[in-house]
Amino acid sequence: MMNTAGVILNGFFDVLLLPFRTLPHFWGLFFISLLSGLGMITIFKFVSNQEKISRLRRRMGGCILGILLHLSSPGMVMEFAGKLIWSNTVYLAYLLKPLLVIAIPFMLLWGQLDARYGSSEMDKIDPVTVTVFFDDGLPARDSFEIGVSGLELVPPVVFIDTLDEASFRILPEGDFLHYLEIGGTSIQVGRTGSWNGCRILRGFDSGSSLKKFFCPWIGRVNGGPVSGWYSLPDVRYRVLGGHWSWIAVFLVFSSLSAIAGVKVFKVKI
Amino acid sequence: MKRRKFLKLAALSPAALLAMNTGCARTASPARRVIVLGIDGMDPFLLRNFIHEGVMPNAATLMASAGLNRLGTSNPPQSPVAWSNFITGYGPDVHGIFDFIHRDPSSRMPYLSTSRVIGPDRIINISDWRLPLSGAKVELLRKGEPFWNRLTDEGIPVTMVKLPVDFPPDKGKAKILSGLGTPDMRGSQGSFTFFTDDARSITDKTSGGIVVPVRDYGDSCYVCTIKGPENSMRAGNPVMEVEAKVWVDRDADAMRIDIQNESIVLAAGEWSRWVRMRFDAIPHISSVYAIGRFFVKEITPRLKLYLSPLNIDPLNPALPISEPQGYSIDLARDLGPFYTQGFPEDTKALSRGILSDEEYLQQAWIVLRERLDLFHHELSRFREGMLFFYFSSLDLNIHMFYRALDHSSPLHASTSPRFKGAVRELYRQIDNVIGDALSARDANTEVILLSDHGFAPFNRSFNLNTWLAEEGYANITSPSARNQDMFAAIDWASTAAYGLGLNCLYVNRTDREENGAVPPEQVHDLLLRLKQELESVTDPATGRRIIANAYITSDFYPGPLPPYAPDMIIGYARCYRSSWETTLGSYPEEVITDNLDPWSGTHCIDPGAVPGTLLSTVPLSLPDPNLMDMGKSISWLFGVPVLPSGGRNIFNEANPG
Repeated sequence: MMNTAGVILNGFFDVLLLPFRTLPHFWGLFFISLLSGLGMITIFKFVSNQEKISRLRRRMGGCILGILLHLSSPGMVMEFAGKLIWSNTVYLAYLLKPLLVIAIPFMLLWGQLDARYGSSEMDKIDPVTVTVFFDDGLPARDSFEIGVSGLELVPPVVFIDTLDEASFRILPEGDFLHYLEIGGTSIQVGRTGSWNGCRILRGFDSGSSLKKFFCPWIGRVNGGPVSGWYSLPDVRYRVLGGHWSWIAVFLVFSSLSAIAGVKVFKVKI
Repeated sequence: MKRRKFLKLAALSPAALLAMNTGCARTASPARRVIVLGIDGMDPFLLRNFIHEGVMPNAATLMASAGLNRLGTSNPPQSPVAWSNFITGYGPDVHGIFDFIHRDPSSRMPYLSTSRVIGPDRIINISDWRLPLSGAKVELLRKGEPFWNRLTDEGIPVTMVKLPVDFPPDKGKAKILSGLGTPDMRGSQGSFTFFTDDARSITDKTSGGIVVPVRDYGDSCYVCTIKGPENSMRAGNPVMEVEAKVWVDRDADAMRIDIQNESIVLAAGEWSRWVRMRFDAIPHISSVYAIGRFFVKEITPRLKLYLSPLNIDPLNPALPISEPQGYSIDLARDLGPFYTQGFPEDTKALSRGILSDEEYLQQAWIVLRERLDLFHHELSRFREGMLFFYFSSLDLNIHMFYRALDHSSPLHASTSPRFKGAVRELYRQIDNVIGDALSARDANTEVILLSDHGFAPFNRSFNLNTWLAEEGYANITSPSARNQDMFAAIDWASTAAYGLGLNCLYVNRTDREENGAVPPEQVHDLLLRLKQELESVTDPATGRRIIANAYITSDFYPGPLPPYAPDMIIGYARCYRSSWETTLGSYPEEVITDNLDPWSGTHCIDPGAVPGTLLSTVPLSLPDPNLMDMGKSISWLFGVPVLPSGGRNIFNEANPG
């Protein structure tokens, strides 16, 4: 059930982000960030009580003016300060509802962007390191078997007893879906990046499916005790002479567009 | 406009365009292309041998056009000097590069002759943070105008790949990727890192790299700290570091290296792919990128993990390695990371015994494969103008394996004969490059192959400074400091001359050096005496002369010379060269010793003994071509109205420009 919901969610974002596939990675992320900022400020406008916020802000402005006018009277200053603090608390309460409404789509979007713009896809020339973790301790070396489909397995397998981990290398063959099989557990490895902004799997886990809603870079494991990750380098975007992570690009440009949206749509925040 | 008139025009326009197009095709001259292959260290004598052996059929084809020509090299015949001659058409008196190493005339402190870093003008100090208000600059110390400016001024596209002595690349219209002279991220010409728990390998005296002791505390994990560039944003410029955890599996004889969210699995004897490392100057705000390759030399019984010099990442260059800057980024996007340092083959690791002959050669093949990929990439998109492509592989590998070719080398008996085959294979690969260039040739394309110098054996080391001391030209007052660098052993006030760099001798002048001893009016007489005595020095073991010619610089280059120019250029005889100790100013006990370093081939001798090579599809009209002639001659092939001023036109003597 949860898996089906996850597939639907990923499919929904695939369709939603379809217009950005033709753009280079940075520009795709840039426009998504701008639209996200505008989208969130629009949601805020409609979910929040703009009239109450506006009234509250006027009241808070009045309190500040009162403090400034009665600086010679400590009693009055204290009274206005108390009202100001109370108004601030009410203001935070007003913000709570829209922020809660925004939080879920924001977290889903965050996870999707992390999965799509956070790391490089698998290289078809240099092997990728896969690390698997065993909850119940490492199996014996001679009983550890790896099957591959659409992949080349590059020996050796490194056993790290201290961490209960084993690592090995794989090399994708072609762009299609690939599978690993470890101890009878089938693991989806993913694509090698068939379009810009596609979901790139960075790990797999047999645990809670809910986690995969917010971390869609975690692949599905059909049973078994295995979890693990692929070593894929982070992507950095060259912006203004610096090397920005996708998080920096998203936060900066979505914030800028949200600020612009506040001005254009006359949103009270 | 009336409808009828509009329809008529609409019908005529495509026809007119078609006519104009065909007219253009008939009258415009097709684009001329010149492919210049710069093969550092290709020796004309070795080349002739390999052609006769049938190893180089494509070179034989090219030779059929204009013969196999010896190309006059620079004096001294060192690569930075020679390639500067090629670039500018003039000698060191104009371009100012006399040696790999120059020295400050007053303090005698040595520095790299080709480039230098200039710090930012203004800095704000906040606690121990130093925030620059302007960027640091790297300055190219080579003077003179590059010949290709005349081509780009005429709109002819020019691409120079791995161009020597051009770091940072000349600003202009040419596309340039800098080569020889490009430093690694530590600012040196190549500094490896070697992690080991083998007590016998741990030493503080390994030049050319860092040996880092590491230890396994029982959890099969070694914590390896990689030292990167200095952090100029912190007071005292501390070195930036990246930590790598190395997990070893001794049963599998393999390891996993965890570094900055990446994991790399390697078996013993394997080279890693390029690993990108981020060094944070100010965390999350300012960082520089480097790339390096690991090599697992041994896991059991002792960990021996080699890390190549940290190269400037071509995708995120911390220093200007290309012009325009996006050129290296485009190449890295198309081909992946590649060696950017000027000396990509790690000869120092071989000389210091960190890498064996076999391991060094593996690395050399990696370098050559990368270079071939770059070459094919550029050749496939070369449509018009000049494409210059530089290969360093012959030079550096023959430096290291001449001992396999030369029976008189003190290391010949201990060198496996198969490395002679490796030299042959390297020449064969270069022949394939020639073949590719010839395949790309059409009626409007010329192919030129040139090398900056040839090669000679380096069997005996001459300690120039020790000789000067023994002959009374230098006064050793601290015998215990003889083996220390930078003239720690001598008294300057009673020292007349000193050697520094590979071919340079300086007079300790009162009007130039601090604590100088020789008044200006005595300098020429002293140089004449030194010339006579140096040219008569013989090797007691063989009775042969050690120095073929000692050139008084002001006589050889009669024009005005820069103050850092040497007073004398030592032209060693074949088989001899200045010792490594001489290059940095120390005074070993013996004047002449066997050269037991794998660096067994040299060209830093008399220029007459190590000419370069010139092959061309264009016949020559002059019998004695020189590197300085090449810029003018190549420019003439494009028919530019004003040829560069330096050199001669070897393709058409009647048109000297």
